[in-house]
Amino acid sequence: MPRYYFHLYDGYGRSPDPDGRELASLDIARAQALKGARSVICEDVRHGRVDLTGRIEVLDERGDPVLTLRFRDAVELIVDETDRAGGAA
Amino acid sequence: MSNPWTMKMEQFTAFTPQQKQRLDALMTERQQDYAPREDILTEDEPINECHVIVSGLAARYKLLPDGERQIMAFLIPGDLCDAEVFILEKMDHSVCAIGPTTCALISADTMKGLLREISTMSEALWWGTMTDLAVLRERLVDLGRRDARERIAHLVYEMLVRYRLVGATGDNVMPWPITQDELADATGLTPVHVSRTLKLLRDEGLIDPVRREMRIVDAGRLREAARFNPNYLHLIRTDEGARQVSHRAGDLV
Repeated sequence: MPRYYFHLYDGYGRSPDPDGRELASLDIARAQALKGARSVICEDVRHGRVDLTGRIEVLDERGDPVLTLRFRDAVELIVDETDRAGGAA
Repeated sequence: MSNPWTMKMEQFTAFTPQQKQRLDALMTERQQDYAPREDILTEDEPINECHVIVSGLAARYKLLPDGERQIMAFLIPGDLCDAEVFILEKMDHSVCAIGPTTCALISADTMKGLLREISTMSEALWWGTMTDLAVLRERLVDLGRRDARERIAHLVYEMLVRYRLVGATGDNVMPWPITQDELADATGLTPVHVSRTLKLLRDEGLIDPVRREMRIVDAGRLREAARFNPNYLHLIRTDEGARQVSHRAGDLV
């Protein structure tokens, strides 16, 4: 099985994945990246902040990027339009 | 230097030199090596003998039908994988090696003989089981009430105390063959989340994880971050100041 590495880039900088993970397909790697991004967003929410500027870069065994998952693509954002002017947009 | 199994039990009970020799012999008589990720005990299979970790690191785990894994405990030198050998027909979970691991094999009959020979042995084993349960309770608190930073800080600090008590390290550096995936399975976090939390703890100057080793840079602040209270490790003889045992724990507890 191919090995994928999931490196996280967010407001705290780069969090490297030194060991990687053997996964059957790129689709599974995408699902894992999505789960990872959502878990990190959850933790931030728990501490009262939402930062969707982060991303997870997935590399293959050769170190070539195969997938980038942006946090803002990991969640559906539903915001009250009247709040938008001062808020998240 | 004694073997780690004796050292673990010494936190509760004292042994005579003859008893120590007997335990030393048992730890070296029959040994088996396991490669990383190899099962030492497998769910639904019968257990015939006791496995005591001599060196390396193992994990108690359960696999779910979808392939997800929960690690319930990390077992370090001196830990008994299967105190249930007398009672259980089949394992209800598995134990696998995390790094290269060596176990001493002790047959159920030998263990029964040992319990007769050494009067304090059954109490020591009982104490060991109780302490293992207390460690498991901390994992329960992790999942229910501690955030990611506290969970990882707590686990790292606890591992250092446990490694110190069995003489596997004398300073603030310990073996750490645990991958971020395995740490995720043990803390109920995702690997990405573990990665970020380790990075934050490193940036704060508390720990320095390098390949296969974990260095505790600031034990005092790590203890604060973990809100660590060592009472659940029941270090009875350490508290009493039994010289060798308390010396091993050092300033950590």
